[in-house]
Amino acid sequence: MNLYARHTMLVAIVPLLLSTAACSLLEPVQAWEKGVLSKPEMTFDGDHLESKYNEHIYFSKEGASGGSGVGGGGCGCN
Amino acid sequence: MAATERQSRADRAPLGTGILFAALAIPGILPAQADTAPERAQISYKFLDYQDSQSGWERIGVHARALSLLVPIAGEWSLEGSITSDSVSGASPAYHSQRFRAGQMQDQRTGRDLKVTRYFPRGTLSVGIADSRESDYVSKAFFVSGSLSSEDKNTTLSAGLGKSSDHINVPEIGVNNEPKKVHDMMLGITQTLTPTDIVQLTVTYAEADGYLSDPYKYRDHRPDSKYQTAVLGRWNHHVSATGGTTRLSYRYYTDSFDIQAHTLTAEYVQPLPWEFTVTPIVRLHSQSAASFYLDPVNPPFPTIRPRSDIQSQDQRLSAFGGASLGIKVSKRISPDLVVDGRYEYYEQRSSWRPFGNGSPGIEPFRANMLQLGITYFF
Amino acid sequence: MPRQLARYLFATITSALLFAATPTSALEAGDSTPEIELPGTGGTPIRITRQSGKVLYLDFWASWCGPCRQSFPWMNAMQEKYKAQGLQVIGINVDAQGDDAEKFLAKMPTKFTIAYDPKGNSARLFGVKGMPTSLLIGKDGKVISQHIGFNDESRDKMEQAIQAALGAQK
Repeated sequence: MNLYARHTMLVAIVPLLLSTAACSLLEPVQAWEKGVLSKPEMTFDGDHLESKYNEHIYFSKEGASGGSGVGGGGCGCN
Repeated sequence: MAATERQSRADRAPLGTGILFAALAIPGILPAQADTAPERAQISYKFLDYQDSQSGWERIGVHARALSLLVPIAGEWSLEGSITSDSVSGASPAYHSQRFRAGQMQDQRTGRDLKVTRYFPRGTLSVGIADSRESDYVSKAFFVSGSLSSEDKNTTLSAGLGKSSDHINVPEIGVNNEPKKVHDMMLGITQTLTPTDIVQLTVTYAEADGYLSDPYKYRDHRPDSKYQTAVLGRWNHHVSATGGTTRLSYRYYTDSFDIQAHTLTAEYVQPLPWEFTVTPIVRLHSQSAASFYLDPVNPPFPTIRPRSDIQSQDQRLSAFGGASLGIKVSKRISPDLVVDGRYEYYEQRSSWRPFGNGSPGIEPFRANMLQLGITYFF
Repeated sequence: MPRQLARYLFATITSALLFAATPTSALEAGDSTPEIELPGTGGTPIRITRQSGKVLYLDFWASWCGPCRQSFPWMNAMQEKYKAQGLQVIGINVDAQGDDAEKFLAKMPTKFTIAYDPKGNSARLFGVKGMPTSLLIGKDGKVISQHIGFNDESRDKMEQAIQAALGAQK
């Protein structure tokens, strides 16, 4: 499979599958059942500075990066 | 900077400062957005001490300090900003695991970012800017992102667009204010599955054009454009029996340099008595080599190709596996004050690549990282 | 090419989202309030009926809900101010774990009735879609309005609605 085709497949199919699955199979979580989901460790936010340090370190030492957000600018570190 | 403080270009170090871009820029500023304005403001200070090494050679050391501030405004807005200052010293390989000669470098980098978010009943809209400056590299970036939730808030769609404009300036080797532009976009979906499970899938795509090589490495000549895609899946699961939470993530990365990488991270957050929380962390990484990466054919000498060829002997573009083990401990000292510490050990080895062969002739590389932080809520 | 892809994806996911929203059936203004009985503090039963003759302000809250914390002082003020005129504020707690509610109440002095519904049955009956949810029920036992969330803006409007409800004939 050439590079473009592989990229297309990843970008299109995976999220599509997930959104279909999520919508149909499970009983939706009710508003009053969201106590546990409101705990900080259950969110995807995390400690801002810690995430920045970690991403910067691994981005500087490996050939892969990103996945979680946009923007952020560059540095002369990779 | 005086000539004496700067060693030959080949002794410049990869992490932090005075170095140039090889792969595509930039971790995103912030992951998925919380959907309501924070209840309280917070100010945080975090310190990083990083040291890496390979057999017989302490390579790069970094001391970084960062300050961040988050303030909610009128219940519908928030402002978030941070300043980071990195001080980097040491040296790293000019090609494979070799350096040209003994010599140390030292440089400072300052990064700043600012983000404004407006919270709507079922969504958010954010705008942010960032910049980073070091002696030979300036980066300016901008992004817009937003999220939209379903009526029951169980499903949230998020999207973002970013752009950065960088300049690399190393006149002594003929790199005169070379531009590099990056455009990136992100699409994500977050879904609660059960009262104790939530998942997220994010896809990011970026394109870079301009000067992408690392002039501090031996004959590093990379293509002048690159595109990359990363797919990140995350799952947080609360364990009622222990009160702890497992946090798992997997990222698949692929780019036009032909690098494919898999990164798996697992954390377990366990609240303990006396307001302590302990989180063990494991991270596994595997990547293939860039198509133009050259293996050593005549070690310890570099592999010779004509300058005009697209080529690199930067170990970060080689095939290897990496593993990290870490632990984070935090304690809430008072309702308004939290302190935290995180230690992580990382090792990278070509023999540790689980899918396929690692690149030959590269020494294992190790890093120790310590972060200490304090956060005050007000 | 990838930009087109992103647009296509965005469109697909957005439509999927629209299909995904399946709200619980909500109570509309004019509906009669459901009649229920819940345990209160110390076990005494709290009854919500259509014939109480009082104006009821029901608030579904939990210890983990931020805006709920902010709404308590206001609810205390409303209960004190309009008690004589026939307002009864009932805070229905939906914490799955009783101790969480107790810890919260220990730090927050409360001047209104608290009822407990750890399984969320009454929340389901009343069509609660977000936390907190408050319902204003008139003397005739009919729902006047339902509101999700709490902030400074909603305070004044809600107080006016309470005054209007208290002034109305049964």
